[in-house]
Amino acid sequence: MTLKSMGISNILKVFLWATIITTGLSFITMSVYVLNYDWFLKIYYFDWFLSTFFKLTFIMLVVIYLVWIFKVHKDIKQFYHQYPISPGGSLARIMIPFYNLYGIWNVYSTMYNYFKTTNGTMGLGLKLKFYIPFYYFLLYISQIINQVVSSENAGFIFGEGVDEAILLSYGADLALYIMFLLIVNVVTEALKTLANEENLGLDKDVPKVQHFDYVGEMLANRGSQT
Amino acid sequence: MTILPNTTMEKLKEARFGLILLFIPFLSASTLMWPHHEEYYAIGDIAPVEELGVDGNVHFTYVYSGVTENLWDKFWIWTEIDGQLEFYPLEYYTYEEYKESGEMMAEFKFETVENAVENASDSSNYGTANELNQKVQEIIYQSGSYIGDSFGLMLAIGLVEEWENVDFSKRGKYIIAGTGTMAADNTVGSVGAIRHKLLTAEENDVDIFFVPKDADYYYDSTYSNEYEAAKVVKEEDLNVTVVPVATLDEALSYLRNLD
Repeated sequence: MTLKSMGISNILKVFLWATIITTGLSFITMSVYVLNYDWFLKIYYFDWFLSTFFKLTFIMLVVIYLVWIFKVHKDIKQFYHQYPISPGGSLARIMIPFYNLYGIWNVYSTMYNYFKTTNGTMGLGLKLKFYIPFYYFLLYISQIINQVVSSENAGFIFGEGVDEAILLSYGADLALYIMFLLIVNVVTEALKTLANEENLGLDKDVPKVQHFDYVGEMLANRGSQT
Repeated sequence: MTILPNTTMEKLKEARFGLILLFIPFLSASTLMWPHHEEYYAIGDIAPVEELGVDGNVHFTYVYSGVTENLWDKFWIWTEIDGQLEFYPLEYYTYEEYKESGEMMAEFKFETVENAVENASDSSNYGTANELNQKVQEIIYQSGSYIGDSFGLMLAIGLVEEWENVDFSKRGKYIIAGTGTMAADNTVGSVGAIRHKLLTAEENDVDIFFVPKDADYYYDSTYSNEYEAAKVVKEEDLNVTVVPVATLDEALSYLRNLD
């Protein structure tokens, strides 16, 4: 069985690495800014370049990510016919404001629920389970920090600690992209394993899904199957 | 020779495609960062001299202006500023001059404030040296968010209002604004961005707008503020009354004879 998402996975990984390296470098230039402003002035244009490159790369990364998640769900549907999230449904869960508070968690937790039912992907599923809360909370924490530090009130909120707050926002972004890369790697590996098993003619267990839920009772009955 | 398995070959191909795709933001960022110098002006606003810590009723005019460093800068300015934003190409040597004058701007501002205080004090017979010095410091502090020295004339008029306890606006009957630096000998000096300052005045329903009467100082008078102001009024069919003045006394005399 061929995987539709494999090509875009590799492209996504290249972009994620580029984003991680750029954010890492921006973290360093921002540290220079905080520690010694005169030194920062010498690398000012480099920092500016990084920030421009990052913005453009990030726009492409978002598009590539959406294509990836769509194709990943197409692949998953091939392995688990009763998989509850359609490719379009996965995009809706990620893109629709407020709904994505539940949706992002649900997309990955549902993946875990199915991966854990297959012997070959059980370990990868457990890794995914471990990453999800870090990814989820980093996603929103970094968004909140970024919005606060770029707001007009940043100086008022943080006082003299505003530079350190900006540094913290870069650190949170960096952690988020690393966590995201780990998730992409796990999902890609799991799909590869499933494809190999399919090609070797190994039977998968019939999924007996127990709902995986860290968020709370609110999500308890969504997408669960027996 | 090593023959790579098909999957590895495909992986390499996709990674290479990813790197090629990365060139798009890289080239775009490089292009946007390429040095590109243009001067820009956009309509700003009028502000009461009260904002400078002066108890007067006239206004000074400010516009948004500056120099772009690169194309990204231009794009950013274009998205951030509205109001008849216009860009003018700059030669490299002009850009260098611009940068140098930018560094001198704080000095020019201090001079114009000092001259405005001195000249207004002479006109109103007000203040001891100590009081005047204190006023200069206060105005410099209050004007921290404004760059440039073109508020000198209006500042001096505002100070005369404060120290003589007069209201040239006749209790708001007239909206009075203007632009021009203030020299130590009471003369009003030329400024930049006359066109956009006049458009700002028109947008704010200004009735009387002072500009430097400087045509005589130029070999080619078409470069003067006075000429440009008359041209803009005609071209844009403005309602504002433009009053060219050579000195603070001339401006005060006009205002004192206002009905």
